[in-house]
Amino acid sequence: MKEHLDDGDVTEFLLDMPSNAAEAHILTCDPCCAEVEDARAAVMQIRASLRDAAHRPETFWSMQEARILQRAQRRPAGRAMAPVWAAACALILLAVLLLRAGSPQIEVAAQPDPDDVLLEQVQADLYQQVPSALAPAVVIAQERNRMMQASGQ
Amino acid sequence: MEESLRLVAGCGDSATQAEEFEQIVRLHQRGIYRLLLSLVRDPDTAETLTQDCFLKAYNGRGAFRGDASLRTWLVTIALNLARDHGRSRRQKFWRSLFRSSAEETESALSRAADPRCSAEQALLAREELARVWEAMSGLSEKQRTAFLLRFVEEMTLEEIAAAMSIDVGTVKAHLFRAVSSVRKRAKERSK
Repeated sequence: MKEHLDDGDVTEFLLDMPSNAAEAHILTCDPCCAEVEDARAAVMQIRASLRDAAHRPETFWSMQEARILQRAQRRPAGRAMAPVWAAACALILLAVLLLRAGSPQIEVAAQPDPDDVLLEQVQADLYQQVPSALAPAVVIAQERNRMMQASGQ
Repeated sequence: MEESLRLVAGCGDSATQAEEFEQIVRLHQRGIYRLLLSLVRDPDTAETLTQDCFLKAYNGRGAFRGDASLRTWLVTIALNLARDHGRSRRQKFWRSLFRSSAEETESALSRAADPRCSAEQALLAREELARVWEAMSGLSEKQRTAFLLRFVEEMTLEEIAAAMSIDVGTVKAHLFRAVSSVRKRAKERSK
């Protein structure tokens, strides 16, 4: 024999899915039967109250229906304008490309990297027979030798 | 009706699509509005969100694959909208500083009352609705959603699971806790 019904059992009655044991119990237990009936009445009262609160005259529903249909037929502004925006963007892009293609190309001379210049100078110094600083002395010596050869002749 | 939405999704001419969408709105707008009103508790917001829900469904109709029913799909959209609204509402806390929640609830209650009622009936209905909202406020967001979908919208556990993106066992657990809380409040009230 089942004990008295608990909250779960009562809810199952309200959901129209009581267990066999609960169903058998309620047939013989008046307090539990009353519990189920009270619960059902409380739920029905809530249902009736909420349904009454949402009751509206027919004009309300037809007006609401008209408003919904009106709003549905009106295309959202963003969507309606989308092709216009796409065309405008394409035109701007085309204009920019045409302007770039038409304008004269200005050749900008490439500036050598100062580090590379310095390295080249160092490299050149290394391969010279005399350091750059002594180059005037070499010229003087060469000139002197040339003059001596000329006077000897 | 699932067939209809597939037609709305792109087959058929625009006149047919509009006609089918109109049928979908006519069939489901009451349920979606009722659910949203129960969740956001403000008739004006529920009205706006209902419109947004159908617009989202219409604009996203290509994504509807028919795995769930059309109603479940609409409910999923409505739940997401209500959740987003709840988030943005929490962010607007400055506004709440200048308007008390009691004042706000009273205003929403008066607008939510059934317009068919006489003044006395309306008062009673408002009191009852206030009690219901109070009972619902004791539930977590998921418990409240599961409760509303099951007992007000009469959806199956499988449909609720699909709409809330959770498994059936979790739906049951939320329902157990929700029913338990509602019963407890009902008992307290009757004492």
